[in-house]
Amino acid sequence: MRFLTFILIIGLTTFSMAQEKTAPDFTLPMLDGSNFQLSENIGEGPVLINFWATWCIPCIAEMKQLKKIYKKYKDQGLQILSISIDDPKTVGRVKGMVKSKRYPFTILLDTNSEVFNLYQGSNPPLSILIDKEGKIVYNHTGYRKGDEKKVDKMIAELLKNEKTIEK
Amino acid sequence: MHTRLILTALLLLLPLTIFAQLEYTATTQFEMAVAEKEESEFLENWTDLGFTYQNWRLGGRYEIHEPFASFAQQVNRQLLSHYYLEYRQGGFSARAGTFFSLLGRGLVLRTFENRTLRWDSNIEGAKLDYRHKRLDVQVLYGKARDTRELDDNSAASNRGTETPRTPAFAAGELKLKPVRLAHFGGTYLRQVEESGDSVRFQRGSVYSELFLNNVSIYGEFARSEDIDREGEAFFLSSNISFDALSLLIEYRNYDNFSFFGGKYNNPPTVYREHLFTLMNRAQKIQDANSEQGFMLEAAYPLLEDGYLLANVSLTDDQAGDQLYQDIYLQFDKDEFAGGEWSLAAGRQEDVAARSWNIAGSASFDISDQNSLKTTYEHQHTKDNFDRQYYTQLLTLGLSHSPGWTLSFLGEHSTDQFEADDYELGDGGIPHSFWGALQLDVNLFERFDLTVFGGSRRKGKVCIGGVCVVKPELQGVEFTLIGRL
Repeated sequence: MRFLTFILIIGLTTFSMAQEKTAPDFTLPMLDGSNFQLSENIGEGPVLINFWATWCIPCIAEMKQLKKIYKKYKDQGLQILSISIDDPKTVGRVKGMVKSKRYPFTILLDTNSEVFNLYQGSNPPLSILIDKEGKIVYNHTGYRKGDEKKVDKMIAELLKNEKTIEK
Repeated sequence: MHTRLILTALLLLLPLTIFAQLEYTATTQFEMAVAEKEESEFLENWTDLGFTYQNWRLGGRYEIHEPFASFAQQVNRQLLSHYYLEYRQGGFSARAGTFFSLLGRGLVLRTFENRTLRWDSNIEGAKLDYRHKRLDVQVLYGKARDTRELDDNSAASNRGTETPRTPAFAAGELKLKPVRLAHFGGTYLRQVEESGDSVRFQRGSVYSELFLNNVSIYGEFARSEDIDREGEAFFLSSNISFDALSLLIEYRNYDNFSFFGGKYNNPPTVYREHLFTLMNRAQKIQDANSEQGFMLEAAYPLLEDGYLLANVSLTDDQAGDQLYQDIYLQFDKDEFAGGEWSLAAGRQEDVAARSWNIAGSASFDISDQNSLKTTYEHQHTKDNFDRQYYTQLLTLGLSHSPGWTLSFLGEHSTDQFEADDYELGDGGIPHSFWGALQLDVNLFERFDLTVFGGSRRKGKVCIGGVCVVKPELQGVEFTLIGRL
């Protein structure tokens, strides 16, 4: 059975290089209690989904950099969906942290990690960049200082391509 | 037979991805240790496959577990642990097979997965979920998996293909949102399959949420009637903010409220989960049968690029005897002496010991892509027998974005119970040391490989009041996570 698992992994790796995946749709509550549905917010510009948690040290470091990226591109249509995977024990901390760290993103609550699992999350942070058509163009887990440069570059390319198509 | 049939079906679907508008996802997590001591060797793998066609999803997970001899009460298993067929459309989803569920804040029911804890309490059955502007509804029926029940055979010899499950139950949640500022809801769970005539358990709760501009409040009251006892639980959480100052106030009172020993409900703990390793090791294990207490937390952006956090929590049992107390202070400062700093101090006290902690971390940019991070933690402990010892932990890591991180992890303790093989220092104090190198590599943006080599101390790992003891490791450990 282990051999079968190994063969499956190799096979899927080969296939996955070619396949462009659609971002799964979801509905999650926001901090003010209202619902947010992804499919209703696709099409305006790139969407960066960032899964994080209040107890995740690299997530906090990454969000500081995402603030700068958001400031740079928000007027060009970039949306950042910052999805907290804090469970019922720590979800109470999310609002306080967002206020005191002044995060400007749309904050969503995935209290039992259902959407995190839907996006194949294992450990936060997990960043998913979605283009205007709803396709996943970048998928990265973890954060090291400097990773934000790749995200910045990918967003700039998406915006540039969108402008070219519009012309 | 059952497993092979489903795996074959999944394999047959794979070629169809080329011809049809069928998308697939695959995730695998492989962990293995080669250790000096046989009891700390293990091999585990979780492989998920999922196929999506328009609004439909079909998938499953195959698991291989050959864990530590006694880790987390797990036994050797190879099984198809998850399988599902799901339909999603807007805020509606229907799923048959295995799934997780959270009702309210988890007082009545919470099933979830945490691989660090080797915890997977998935439910086998069916679930309907609907989220709308004015109401949210969840209805489910099924049997929850028991991941903490040992089989009759010993862990080493048993090769199970199934895990025990609870009797079937039906449960649901209804949340009404008449106005944006106030939501009201209720949850209910009842056993529906029973060999005898009477219902073995039923439990329910009512809750409300208020969303004002600078104040938000969540309160939930729950009651349970099990075959041999009745229980009650109450949880309150409130966020208050004054400009950038934010306050979190939480209170809980749980009396006879654990569901199958806490395997299927997971009420909020109301004490801080620490970011630093040593403080987190001293965390309390939750007992929802007899706990009450509060937590206060204040956070404020202090100085330029600074952040101050203070936290106090107290836990008593239902008789009023103190079980756990935690006082914690943390200050973070960016852009100071060329780096980012975090300093913390804390005092923890449980029924067996008191500990005083200091901890700090600093990270520095060496270049655009390279950074250095170091963390130091010191914990001084005095137990009820007046035995005193200290533990210190040092990590040093060099990271290169986006490719790799190389870290040194070292720990030193004078705890005599750890000193099977120690060297006596001045005054006859036993000293124990553990040290390791760890390499984390990101490959092709789809794989994360971690190689750990050296020794690691046996220790408690706690997440949300659920704790497991990981055995000592002397050897090499590999972890590979792939997302395709």
